[in-house]
Amino acid sequence: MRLQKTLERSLLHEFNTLSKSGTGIVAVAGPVDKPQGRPQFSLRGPVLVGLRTFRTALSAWSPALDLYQNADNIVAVVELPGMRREEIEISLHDGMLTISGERKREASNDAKAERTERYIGKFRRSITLPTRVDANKVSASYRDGILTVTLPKAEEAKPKQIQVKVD
Amino acid sequence: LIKPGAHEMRRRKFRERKEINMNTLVRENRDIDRGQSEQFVAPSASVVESADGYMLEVEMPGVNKEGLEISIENNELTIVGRRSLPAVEGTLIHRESRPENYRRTFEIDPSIDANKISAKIDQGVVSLTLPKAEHVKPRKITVS
Repeated sequence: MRLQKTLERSLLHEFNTLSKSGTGIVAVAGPVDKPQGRPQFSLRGPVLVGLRTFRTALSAWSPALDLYQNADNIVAVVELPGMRREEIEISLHDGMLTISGERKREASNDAKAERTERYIGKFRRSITLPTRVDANKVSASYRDGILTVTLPKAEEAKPKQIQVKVD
Repeated sequence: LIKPGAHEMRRRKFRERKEINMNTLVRENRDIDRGQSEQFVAPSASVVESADGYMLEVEMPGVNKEGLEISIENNELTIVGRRSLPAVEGTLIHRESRPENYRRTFEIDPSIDANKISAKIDQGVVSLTLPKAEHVKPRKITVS
């Protein structure tokens, strides 16, 4: 698992380097979440399809996320350097935590040459939480480019009885 | 008649030219880390040139002012960032972050005035302003 992540990261870096040098792969990625679950590529240059790592590289910025668990809380720690607080969105849906946002390019008029490895644009990162949490008590802090989301665990999920009317 | 792909080739050439231009001024030095005992990870960076100088931005999430160390020696600019991560109680159940501290070295062109380099850090992004020396700045000469 760890190795796979490392591999993905290094591949992503290689891809970034290639795409910036202008001599490597020219690729256009369609929407990542196609109903079939497979992104559609239009490729020129070396073709690398079907590799999960490559898909990861094509999908947008995927910030590193760590998850901690203690008796009361689930804590998510996400690396999001250089964001504004108001540009970070946190949502919870069906036990899945989603952190999304957009980093905008800071416009400067006289800038001429540029080399960038920093990701500019939208990102979205989701993770399924191991236990149910109380959505109303979620809190978050953003400091030194690190987002910390504290999600208090829910009281034991109570089984509900559903009445079915039969005419 | 324009051959197919001619436009793309022009774009590539242009991009390459920009790359070369950039590399001669703020060039990353990859050899410097050889033989280092402490393990570092290279942070992502970007360079933007303007008429007055360069703006170098380096991503170091988890690093604050206290953990940042910037030094210049023999035209080599080294940025070291040591993380002070928020202490979280509990057990780690999923990890994607790297535990290493950050380090990256850039070679600074003599056209940059090393005495006037300034730096700031905001939300884990180090911004360095590298002004060009007066003699290399573009200037207009008034014809009398």
